[in-house]
Amino acid sequence: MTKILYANGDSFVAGMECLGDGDRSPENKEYAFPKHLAVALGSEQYINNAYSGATNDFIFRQTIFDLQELEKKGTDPAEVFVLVGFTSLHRIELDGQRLFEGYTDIAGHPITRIKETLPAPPVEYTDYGTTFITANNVILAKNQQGKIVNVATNVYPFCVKYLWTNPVQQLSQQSRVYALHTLLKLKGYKHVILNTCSDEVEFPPGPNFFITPDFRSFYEYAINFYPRERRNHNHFSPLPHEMYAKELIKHIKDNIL
Amino acid sequence: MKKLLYANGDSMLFGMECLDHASKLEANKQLAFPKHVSDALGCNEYINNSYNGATNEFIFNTTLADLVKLEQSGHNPTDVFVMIGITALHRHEIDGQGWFGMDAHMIKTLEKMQKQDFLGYPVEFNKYGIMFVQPGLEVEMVLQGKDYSLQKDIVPFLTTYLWTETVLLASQEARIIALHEILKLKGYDHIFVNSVCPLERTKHVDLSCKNFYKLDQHGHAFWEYAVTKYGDSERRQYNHFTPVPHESFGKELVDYIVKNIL
Repeated sequence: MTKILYANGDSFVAGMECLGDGDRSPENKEYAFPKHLAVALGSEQYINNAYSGATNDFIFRQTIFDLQELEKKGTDPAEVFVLVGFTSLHRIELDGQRLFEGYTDIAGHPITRIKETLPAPPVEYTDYGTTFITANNVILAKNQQGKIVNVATNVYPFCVKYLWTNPVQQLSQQSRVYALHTLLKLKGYKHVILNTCSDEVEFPPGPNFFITPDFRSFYEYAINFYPRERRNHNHFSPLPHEMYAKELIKHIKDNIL
Repeated sequence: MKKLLYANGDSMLFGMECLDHASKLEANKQLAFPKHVSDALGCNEYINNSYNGATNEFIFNTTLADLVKLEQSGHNPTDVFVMIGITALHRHEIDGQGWFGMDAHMIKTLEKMQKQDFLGYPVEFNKYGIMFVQPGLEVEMVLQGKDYSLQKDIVPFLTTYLWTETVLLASQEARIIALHEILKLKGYDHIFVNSVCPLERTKHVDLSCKNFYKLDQHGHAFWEYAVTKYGDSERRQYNHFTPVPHESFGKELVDYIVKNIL
């Protein structure tokens, strides 16, 4: 019996753009592939704490904290199914306050951690004070001269040269995968770990890792089988989510439950 | 009775400078406080995989990998005592090749540095391709007219965007929780100690857990303990210590372990 489906990951796990081009609203989660899994498992509760742009480090730690909270509230790990979608190695989480220092938003207002301001600051900044930078995202703000610029421009060169490389990233990611899988297994959580958009780090063999010879990540599945369902910002309509979930559910029923 | 003591941490657990000012020789580990714990617990094997300058992330990664290897070689977790040294949050790993470049001249220079036991030679680069960066630790050189300085090239970016509690603290908490839970559930007796400074303002780590040695308290991180108790008398040139504070701290740890963990 699975009472809770808990999911964590990046924008693909969050179902970004399911509802329309550029849509990042939380309602997208109702169309994302973890939701189909929750329904298939008959879960009473669906918790999807994925964040668009999340780093692997963020996904790892938030999963640990969230499960710790569930346990504190008396949840039995045996009643929870955990889905973790790891993301690209080429992401970083920066101090948001430091990043936005000297900038205003494009409407000319100070960039604060208040959710209600428009344009809204990054969700992770309002929730945690940090900002995710991916290899291709653009965070627009006005500089002191009133010119609209990408505040992450000076971040990329440093990351590419010194941080987004295999020697720096691979061992850490292998450790996260191993630690999370081991912890979930030892505690009695049924779980599946998958790649959302990259396969730079090889998963260890075992039923808890969802990789098939035909596709090694959700993105690869969607782009190969449903190229016309792609949205403006490289995410997908609900259809690939539903179809990927069918493959995932079959794997889980055959190998994990 | 434990058969093996496994330790991982930074230069304080490595025992850097125990032998002499600036000494980074492996033999320092035989005088470091984990060795005293190993002896007191009657271990016949002592593995100390600490690295000078190690980051908390590196300590977490290599501990997991090392313990998997121990298990694969037939060690029973109940025979092993694990000691983890938590270091300062403000450290980072960068790609060594990204900073050095790897032309023939640089390769030769690195080989020379290694051969001559040059203090700033990054041992971690040899095995892992990375370099540890921390505030105040400079590796500076001019090669073929090009200036290399960690403090100028790397540290400003890290200080501006990454070395803040907002970015670093939660990740370190998650590593501590994950490692502690894995060790506990696998049956490893273990202790986490601070090597340099206390872990303050934690929101997620249960500091009342007996496996966490006074993690939030000043004066009980090894460095703080050593300077508080011995002042500068046992301090070496590069801010490490003679064998005396190691022995004394080792004794305190043994008392704590015997009373609270074993």
